[in-house]
Amino acid sequence: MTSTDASSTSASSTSASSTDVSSDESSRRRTDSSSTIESLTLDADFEAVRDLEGWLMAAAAKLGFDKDDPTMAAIHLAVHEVATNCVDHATTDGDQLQLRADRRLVPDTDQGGGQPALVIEVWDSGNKAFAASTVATPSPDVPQVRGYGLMIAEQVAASVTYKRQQTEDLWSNRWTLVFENVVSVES
Amino acid sequence: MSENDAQASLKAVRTAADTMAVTETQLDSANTEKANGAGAVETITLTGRLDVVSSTKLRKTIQEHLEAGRTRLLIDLSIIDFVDSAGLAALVRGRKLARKAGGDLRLVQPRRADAMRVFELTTFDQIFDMDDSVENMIKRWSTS
Repeated sequence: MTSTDASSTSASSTSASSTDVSSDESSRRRTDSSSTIESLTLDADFEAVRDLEGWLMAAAAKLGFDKDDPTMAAIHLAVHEVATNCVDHATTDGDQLQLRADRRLVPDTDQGGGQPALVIEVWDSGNKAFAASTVATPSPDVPQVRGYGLMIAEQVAASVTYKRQQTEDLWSNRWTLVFENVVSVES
Repeated sequence: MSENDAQASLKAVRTAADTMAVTETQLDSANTEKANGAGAVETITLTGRLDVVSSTKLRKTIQEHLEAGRTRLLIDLSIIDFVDSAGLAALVRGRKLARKAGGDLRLVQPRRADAMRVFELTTFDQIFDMDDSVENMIKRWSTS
């Protein structure tokens, strides 16, 4: 897989500097020894996005998190918002959404340690990049549709990063959400 | 609506997959504001998920009421399971249009924390006029 960063920007915030997630495939990725990666493929339509809740809860449980932790419902909302955003902005008929759930330690240091975080990645098979710059930062006085989805995701997740990624001749939009402080059922 | 029609009349309208029961509640006639014709509060009860799929239907329903001159809309979210940003946006837009038409759009707040969360995360719980039951909101609305 060839992966080229085109942009990397925080969703609806103008201030945050983003984390480069492109190198996490190799040296920067650290997971618990027990970790597996859970993945899901959905048709990129709004009806299909409704199916991600069941997958998310099952994936969290398999990764050693407590799926009954009330935080999980907020996490579902955040992931739902990012997934619908992908459907809305980045895909055409017949495209698909990919989701991946992973367990990683944060902070991620060479010395090890850290607390387990639930990391959810969402990307699409579309070729139109979502231009974060075209979505204004929402204000309660100025109703707008999509900006609130990203605002919600950013409030729930410890970090939300977006990058445009090129795989062969297709551009896809890849979101990474890191949720910290999720109750773990593992000792 | 007749001034004497003080009894709440109820009509349920099914609008496709997600059940959206639309009921009509008449205000106490003593409190109706006949001058601007805004006496009746239209209560729209939503069940299931108010999300990106079903919000289109809600937008349409709100639009139809406003076009028919029913500008006081009470959206009952008390038994809703889930609300996302698209559902929120439909409510925000409906509120804006209703106020522009001289009325308002108010809410009966969701009982479920999961459904209430979207309002809190966006601070719209501070923007919307909410109450904990249809009865309380109508009572309050009729005296304001």
